Amino acid sequence: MPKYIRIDERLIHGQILQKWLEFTGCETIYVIDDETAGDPILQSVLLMTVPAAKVEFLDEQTGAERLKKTEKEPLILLKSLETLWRLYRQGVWMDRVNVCRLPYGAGKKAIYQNLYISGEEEHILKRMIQDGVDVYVQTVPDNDEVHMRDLLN
Amino acid sequence: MMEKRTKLILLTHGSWGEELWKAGEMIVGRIRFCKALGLMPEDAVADYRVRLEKELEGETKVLILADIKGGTPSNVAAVYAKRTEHIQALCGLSLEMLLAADRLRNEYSGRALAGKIVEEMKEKLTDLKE
Repeated sequence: MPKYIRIDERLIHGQILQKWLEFTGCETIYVIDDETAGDPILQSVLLMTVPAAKVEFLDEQTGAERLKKTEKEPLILLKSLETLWRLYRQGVWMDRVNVCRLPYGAGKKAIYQNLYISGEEEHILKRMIQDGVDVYVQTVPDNDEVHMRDLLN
Repeated sequence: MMEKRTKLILLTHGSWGEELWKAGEMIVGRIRFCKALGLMPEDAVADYRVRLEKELEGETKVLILADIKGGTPSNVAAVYAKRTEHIQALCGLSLEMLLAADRLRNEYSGRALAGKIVEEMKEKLTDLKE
């Protein structure tokens, strides 16, 4: 079962490189995102600061299959809750999910620092929490984990 | 008459690009054809791209200077630079780099400008005790 799933619209960036790889000890990163999986330029840019051997770019379909039987402990990066929800609905099991950046957009409400959600996103979060998934917020390892259920009341 | 100078666009985490620009002007006076775009913690990358695209519109010579390599501003800059011939982009932004870019764009543009700045920046990093 995947141990480190992170929702962060910026995918691979400073926080991942400087903090999370070391903290988790993960040797592989899976970036699961249809747009990135189909765009070699985006991939080459994200790879500028990470050894290519470390990163796999997967579309959602391939990502779901891979996560169902993964033996490795990859650090899994997703851009959005919608992607997470689709993986979850396809039968990817997860104990915990770190939701650390959902950018501002029209009609979204702020629930925490850098977390803005739509009604639909709130619904997804509540469903997963109800199912027993530990949804938490932790931008960098030095910050304490905040439980999503405490932010959604 | 000199052709229009290359436009500089500073891409940073937070708004220190504005301050850097002001600091640069303390040293060399007015720095024209320059724009600073800060990526704030709550900003969506898509919106940041839109702000950048507005600045790129109609420009024929652009040099983007971004802060840390692998950070989102630098990643965004790299995507545009790789896709568009007339857009150059460097990362490792500093006051030194801004002033070098402002000075060298009087004489160079395009790949040559980018190359000259990189060359110059390599010589600037100095251990002052030695």
